[in-house]
Amino acid sequence: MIRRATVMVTVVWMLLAMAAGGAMFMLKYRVQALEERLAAVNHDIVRNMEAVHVLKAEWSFLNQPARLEELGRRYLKLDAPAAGRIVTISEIPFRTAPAAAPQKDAPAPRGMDTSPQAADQVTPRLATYRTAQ
Amino acid sequence: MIGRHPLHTARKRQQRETSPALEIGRNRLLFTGAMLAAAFAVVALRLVDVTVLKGGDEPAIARSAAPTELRTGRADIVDRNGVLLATSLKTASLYADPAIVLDPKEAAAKLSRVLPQLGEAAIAAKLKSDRRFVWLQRHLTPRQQYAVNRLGVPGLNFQTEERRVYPGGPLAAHVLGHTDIDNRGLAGVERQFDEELRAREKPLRLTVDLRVQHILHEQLERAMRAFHAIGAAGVVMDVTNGEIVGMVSLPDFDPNLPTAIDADSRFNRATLGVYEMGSTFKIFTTAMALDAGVVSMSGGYDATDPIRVARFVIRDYHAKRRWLSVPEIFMYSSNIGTAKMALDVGPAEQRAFLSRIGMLRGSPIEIAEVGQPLVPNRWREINAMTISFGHGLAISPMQLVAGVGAMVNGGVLYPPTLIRNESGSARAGKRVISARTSDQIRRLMRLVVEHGTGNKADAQGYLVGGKTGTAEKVMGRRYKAKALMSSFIAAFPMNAPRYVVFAMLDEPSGNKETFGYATGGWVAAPVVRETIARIAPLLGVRPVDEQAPEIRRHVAVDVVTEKSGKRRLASF
Repeated sequence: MIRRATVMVTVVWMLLAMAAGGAMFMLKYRVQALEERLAAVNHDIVRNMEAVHVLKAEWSFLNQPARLEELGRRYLKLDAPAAGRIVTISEIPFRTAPAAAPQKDAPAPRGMDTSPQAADQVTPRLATYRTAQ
Repeated sequence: MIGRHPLHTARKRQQRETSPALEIGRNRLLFTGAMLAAAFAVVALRLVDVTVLKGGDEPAIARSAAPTELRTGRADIVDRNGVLLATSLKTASLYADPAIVLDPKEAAAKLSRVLPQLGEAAIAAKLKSDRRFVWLQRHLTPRQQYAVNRLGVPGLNFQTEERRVYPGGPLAAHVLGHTDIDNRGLAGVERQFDEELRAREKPLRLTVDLRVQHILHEQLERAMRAFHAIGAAGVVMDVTNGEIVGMVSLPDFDPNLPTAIDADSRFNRATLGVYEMGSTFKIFTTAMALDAGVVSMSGGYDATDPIRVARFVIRDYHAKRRWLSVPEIFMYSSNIGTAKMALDVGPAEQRAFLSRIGMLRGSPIEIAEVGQPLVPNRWREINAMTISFGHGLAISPMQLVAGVGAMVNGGVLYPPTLIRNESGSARAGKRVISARTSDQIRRLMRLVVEHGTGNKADAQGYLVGGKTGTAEKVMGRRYKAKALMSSFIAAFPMNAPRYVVFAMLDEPSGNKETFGYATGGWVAAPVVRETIARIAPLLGVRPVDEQAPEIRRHVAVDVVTEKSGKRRLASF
C-alpha cells in the first residue's frame, strides 16, 4: 500500500518536473525569438533614425533662405514686403454693400480660388462672421 | 548485584571507549548537514533575489533596448527657431591594409578611376608602404563607397566616422566656426563650446535667426560689391536682452571645407577686428555728457573755429562755423562740439564711463575670436577729445553694438550673447545711464536719420534712428587717407527700440550713385535701411505712421539754433 502510494507520488513529481522542464524549454525559446525580434526592430529604429537625421540635414539644406527666396521669386513672383503692405486684419475695410447675397448652394471651390468673383463671395461671409461676433 | 556490577562496569567502560568516536561521527554529520543547509539556503536566497527582488532580467533588456535619441559624437547646433545649422552625419572613410593588397599597381589603377582626385601614383605609393594601416580618403559619399565596394579589391576597408555638416554653407560661418577632420572645434561656437557639444545630447540653440542672418549677409555682400570694399561686417542685436540675432563678417568661408579657408576669410571683422569707430562714438560722448548733467539738450558749444591742441587740429567735416546746440552737434556730427563736451566731463570721468559700458575690455560674446580694444596708456585731454568722436580708441563692432543697445533701450547694458537662454528667465543687465538720458539719445538718433547725415537709413515706417561713422584706417603709425572704415549704427523703432542694426564696410570706394562719397552715410546707411525694411516684418515689428502725434511725442526734438535759446527751429 505504502509502496504504491510512494510510487504514485514519485510518478506525479516526475511528470510535474518534466512538464516544468518542457515549459521552461519552450519559454526559453520563445523569449529568445522575441529578443531576436526586439534586436532586429531596434536595429531598424536606429537605421531609420539615421535616415531621418540625414533627411533633416537635407531638409535644412533645401530650406536655406537664399534658395527659398530664389524659388519664391521664380515661381510665385514673391518679393520682400514693403512697410505699406503690412496691415492688421482690423485695418482692412469691409465692403459696405455686398453686390449679391452669398450663394449657399454654390459648389465649394476646389483649392483656393483667388479670382475676383471668389473674393466677392468671401467678403460678405467674412462680414457676417464679424457682425455675429 | 555482584553479577551486574562487572557488566555495568564493562558497559561503562565500553561506553567510555566508544563514545568519543560516536561523538566525532555525530559532530561531523552535523557539520556536513549544516554546511549543506547553508549552501541550500544561499541557493534559495539567490533564487528569491533573482526571481522576486530583481524582477527578472528581461524587462530591463526591453527598457534599455529602446533607443529614444540617436547619439552622435557631437550635438547639433540650431538657430533660435530650431533650424539646423550644424549636424554630424555618419560617413565611411576608406583605409587600406597594404599587407593584404595583392597587386598595389592594379588596385591603384582601379581606385583612381573611382576616386580620381587621389591620383594613381599617390595611391600606389600608399598601397606599397610597409604599414598595416593607411588612410586613402576620409568621408566618402555613399555613391563613392558603393563604387569602391564594387571594385572588390582585397585589403580595402571602411571605417565609419562622423562628419560635421553645415547645411547653410557660409551663411553663419563666423558664428558657428568650423571643425577639423577629427571633429574638434577650431573656431566660433564650435570651438568655444567644444567640450559641451561633445557631452550634450540635445541640440545647442543659438540666438541667431537664420533669416535675419541671410538678409544681413545679402545686403552686406551687395554693398561690398557695389563699393568695391575689401570687407564688411554687420550685426543685429535684440536690445532688450543682448541676444545677437544676426552676425556677418565678409569675406567669409564655407565651414564644410575647412581646408580651403584663408586667413582673410577666417578673420571675424565683427568681433575680432578692432577699429576706430569714428562718429558713432558721439552717441556715447553725448549720452555721457547729458547723463553727467554738464550740458542739457538746449545747451551747446561754440564750433566756429577748429580746436588746436599740440600738433593736432580738430575740425568739422560738415562745418557750420557757429554756435551749435547739442542736437545740432549730434545731427551735423560736429567733432569740435563733441570734443568740448568731452572736455567738460573730464578725461577721468570719460574713461570710467567708457569702461562701464564695456569699451575698454574685450566683448564677452561666446566665441573664441574676440579682439581686445586698443586703449591709450595715458588718458590725457587730447585723448579725451579724439576719443569723444571715435579716434584713438579702437574697439570691435560687437562692443559698439552692445554699448549702443544700452544707450537706446532705457539705459541697461546687456552683455551680448549667442546662446539662447533656455531657462526662460530674464537676463541680468547693468544700468549705465538713466532712462531719461536714453530717451534723449533716442530722439537725437532719430533726428540724424530724419534730418541729418543718416537720411539714407530711413526705412519708412520703422522709425529708424542712427548715427554714421567714418574713420580713416590706421596703417602702421599714420592714418591712411582714402582708406575708410564706413559704418552706420541704427536702432528701430525709435519710440520703443527693439533691435540695433550695425553695418560696416572696409575700404569702400564711392561710385556714381554716391557721387564718389564713401562715407558711412552714403555706403553703410542704405545697407541698414534695406536690412531693417526686410527683417522688421520677420521679427514682428509693426510699421507705424511716422507722422502720427502719439509717435511724434516719443521722437520729436526741440532744436535750438541760437545761443540765447529764443529762436527755435520748428521742432523736429
